[in-house]
Amino acid sequence: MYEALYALLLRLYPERFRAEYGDEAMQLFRDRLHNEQGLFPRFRFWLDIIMDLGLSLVREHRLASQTGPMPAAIPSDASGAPHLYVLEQGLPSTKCLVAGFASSMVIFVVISFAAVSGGKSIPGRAPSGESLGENLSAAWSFGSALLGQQRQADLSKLPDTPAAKRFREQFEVRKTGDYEALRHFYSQTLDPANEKVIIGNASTDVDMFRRFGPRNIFSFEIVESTQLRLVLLVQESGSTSYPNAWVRYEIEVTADPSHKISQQQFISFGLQKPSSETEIPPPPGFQLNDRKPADPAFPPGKAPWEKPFSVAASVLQSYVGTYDFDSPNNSSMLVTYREGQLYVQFSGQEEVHMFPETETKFYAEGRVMRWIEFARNENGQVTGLVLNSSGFELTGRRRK
Amino acid sequence: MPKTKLNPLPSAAFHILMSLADQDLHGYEIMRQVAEQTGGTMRLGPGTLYSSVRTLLEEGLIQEIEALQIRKPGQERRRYYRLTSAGRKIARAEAERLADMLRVARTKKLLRSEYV
Repeated sequence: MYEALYALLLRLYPERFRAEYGDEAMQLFRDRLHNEQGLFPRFRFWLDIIMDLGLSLVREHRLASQTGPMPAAIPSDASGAPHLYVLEQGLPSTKCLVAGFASSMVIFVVISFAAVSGGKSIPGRAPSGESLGENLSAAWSFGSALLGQQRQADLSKLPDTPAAKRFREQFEVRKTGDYEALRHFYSQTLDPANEKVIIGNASTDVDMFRRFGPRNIFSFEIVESTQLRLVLLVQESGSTSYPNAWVRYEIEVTADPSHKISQQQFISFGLQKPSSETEIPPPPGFQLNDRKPADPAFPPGKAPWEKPFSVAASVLQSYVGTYDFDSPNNSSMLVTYREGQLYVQFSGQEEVHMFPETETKFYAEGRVMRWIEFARNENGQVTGLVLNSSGFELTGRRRK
Repeated sequence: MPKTKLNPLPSAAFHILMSLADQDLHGYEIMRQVAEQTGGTMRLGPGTLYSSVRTLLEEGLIQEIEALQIRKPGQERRRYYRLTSAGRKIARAEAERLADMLRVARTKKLLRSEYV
């Protein structure tokens, strides 16, 4: 919610600032929000944000209203020490100060209202995780972080080249949310052996394309009818830190039963340094250490949510409880029973209706790749579960 | 566009340069480093930080790099920044200027011994 609020506040900045640093400002906000927890740190955080807005908004708008190029190089004085030019001269005008004060007060009121309302009125961004537990948490969510970012991308920045044209087409296809169209685009439009285009759907990808140009795609695969996995081996020719390094991205695009794109996420990322500056062999095949084979797609009419397996109410009720996962973020899952149905709720996420495939294995509604399987001990007591999301698994222990 | 030569550096810009003196950092790391350098008294907000970063980039005192090796799955790409030789020269000149002021203040007995 707070991120959505700050995204709105960012719109107060001039277009140039937003285009150049909007994503970075948002990322910084997100980092601070995540790391400054607790009453006092959070109060201090918002105070910082409000003061920052009040000061920097005035400065950026003054800048935007002025014309004239920045000096191309740093001039030197007689001692040889260059000067630093700043973007202001003297104090801001009274008008600017009044505008800054007024905007700060408006922002303060909005934030206060949002804080009091408990953060439920503004839709938030789907989480993007770093740890396996967070990744699973994000994957379990039915939201789509990357779809959200796509809307912010400014395609007008792309150059007028064939590769950029393909890149733009890909954006347009993704924007429709039509999984079949996207699958068609990758399987028919692109030639994986020769195509030079960067896969991306966020404004940062547009920026990378502009700065470093297109990259080579070496492979992609369609895992099943409802899931597309793009395995990209690209050469980061523009990287300063690792010139010509090979980078492996694995992106998963999943469709819901109506063939709409329901989720897109990075599921792995890897880097291989070149063996020398001149010799740049393609990397060998890679293996993901903790990934299981993909589930087969359910044939039409056979998915658990379409044709659920019948499980006795007493069995379903025996699963009710809280299950703790041994993950870095100490996530847990709440299993509940209502009116003959089983529901699960992962930490901080919405409740999901689960449908049985067997007496112990349940699938999330509309999802092939998300399931849980309960485990019992020798006495028949339910002791835990395994949560599987796109092949990644976490084991949860039932809380006593 | 009218501009003013500032010598010494603006405080925020100086602290950003110092934060990059021994390592490449992205925005949030710069903010944390600056907060640490100043004992928590200077906590740069997104607007102030990136406004200063842009100025420093345009003046060639820092440069932007791509640090792929640090990126993890699910993370967005981040811009990392590196101090240039011109930036290092400026930061050193500013530090020397402050050291001179400190020496004067000490001579005038404005500071207690713990500042020596």
